[in-house]
Amino acid sequence: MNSDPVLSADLGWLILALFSAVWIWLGWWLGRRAQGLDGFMLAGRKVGLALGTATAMATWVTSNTTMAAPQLAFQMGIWGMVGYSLGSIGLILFAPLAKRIRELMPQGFTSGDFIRLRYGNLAWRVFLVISLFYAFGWLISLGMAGGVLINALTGIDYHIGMSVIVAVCVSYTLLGGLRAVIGTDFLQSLIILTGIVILAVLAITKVGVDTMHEQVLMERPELLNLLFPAAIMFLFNNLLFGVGEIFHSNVWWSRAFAFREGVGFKAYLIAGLFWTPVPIVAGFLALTVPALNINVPTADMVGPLVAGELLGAGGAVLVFIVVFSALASSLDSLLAATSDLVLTDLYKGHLRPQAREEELVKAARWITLGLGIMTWLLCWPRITTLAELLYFTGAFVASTIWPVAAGLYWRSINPMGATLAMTLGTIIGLLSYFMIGFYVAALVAAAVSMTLVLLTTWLAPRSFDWQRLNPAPIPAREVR
Amino acid sequence: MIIPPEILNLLIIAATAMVAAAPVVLLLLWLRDRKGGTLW
Repeated sequence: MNSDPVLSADLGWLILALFSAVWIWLGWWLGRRAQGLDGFMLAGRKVGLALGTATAMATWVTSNTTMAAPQLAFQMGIWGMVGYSLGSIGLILFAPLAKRIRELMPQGFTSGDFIRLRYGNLAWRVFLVISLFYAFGWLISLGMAGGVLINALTGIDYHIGMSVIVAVCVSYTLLGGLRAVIGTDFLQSLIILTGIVILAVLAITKVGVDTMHEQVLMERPELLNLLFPAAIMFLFNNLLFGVGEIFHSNVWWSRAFAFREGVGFKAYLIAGLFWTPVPIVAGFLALTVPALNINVPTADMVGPLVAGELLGAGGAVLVFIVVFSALASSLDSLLAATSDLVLTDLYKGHLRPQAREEELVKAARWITLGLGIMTWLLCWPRITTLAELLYFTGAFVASTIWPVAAGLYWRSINPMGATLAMTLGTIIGLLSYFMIGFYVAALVAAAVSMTLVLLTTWLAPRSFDWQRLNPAPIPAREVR
Repeated sequence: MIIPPEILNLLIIAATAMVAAAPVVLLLLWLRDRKGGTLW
């Protein structure tokens, strides 16, 4: 097989137009009742369990799950896809944190709010650099994935495909805020999960696991090796990377603020449990490559190419819809959450502290639009492969795990220690990325950060009053 | 140490079954929330 598109450009345009219209209309329809800043940014803080679980799942099932999971299975075999599935540990571990966040900060808006109130302005600014760098890394990764997918499946130019996906997500996020994001996430999660299952069942019945195993063993036995050293390092690295991404990112914090009381813990736990098998199901498709004798020109295209070869035009349409939904469900969430962070922590926090609610609601929309344009500009040159881009941010996010988690539960954490942990964890993690490899960056960053948090707290403990996280009084029973 | 085909088979089938259950659970939760007025 060659890498010719499996769908015609006309069919590709039809699907793009249809789904774009649906998401934009749904975004408008869902968001029409959003009132004020709480309504636009946090969906009124009353999101229930069904929508909460679906949005956590759909946001975490990204193009990196549906496209990079096969890529990693293709490069690292069994541990590539199993390691990817450990990304769910972050969601599961965030469940108690979401409960704690809602209790401590019932009126909070962003993860930046927490760092500022908990550790002071210096730590806040370090955290904002990390968080915004990560957000842009993820936005670029998603935008690029959109262009790559559309190009691989339909032959539509990368730049056009990328522009369409960014424009659609910006449009409905602008129209409906977080209500639009969460509402569309529910529908998108159903499409993604159903589509992945259909593809998996067809792959199992057409190729068969035994044939797949036999052919991989003949041509690339290292992919089935349970003692593949780089892959085992990747497994632990990915676990910590996922935990870091979720613990610090405003994508997950904004949901903790938006879910109604009592929902956060259950929603993140259920979402984490059901997310775990998704990368395995999406990833094992790559193990069919030797059996199907597919020529894979670049590793980040292995998923769409296998699906196209296995399932023909119908399968390619399905993959297209699944990945388009996965991209949209993550891109919209990230746009909304990053816009909240820029609005609350940069615009209001640094530029316009006296800004009133009306001004902030208006600014939120302009910021979303600005972020969309920046993403589009940064995605224009296709810089690196998807997984490399994704893992470049591993050092940044893993360095925040300890300052965030320990800061939510331990009064005695030293604020300067937390600041140093994020700064040095990131720097040393990045050095290890360039000197050793992408698969150790998060591991090293988390280890350095942990050591610094524990050491400085042991040497110079401080006492923190939890009430400082919430200007309004909290009933005593809620804060332990 | 190569993963045996039986274990690979089990891994793939179990993972697929779990992913297949997820949309059903989501729809049941949606129905429950809608009935209880706790959707939004």
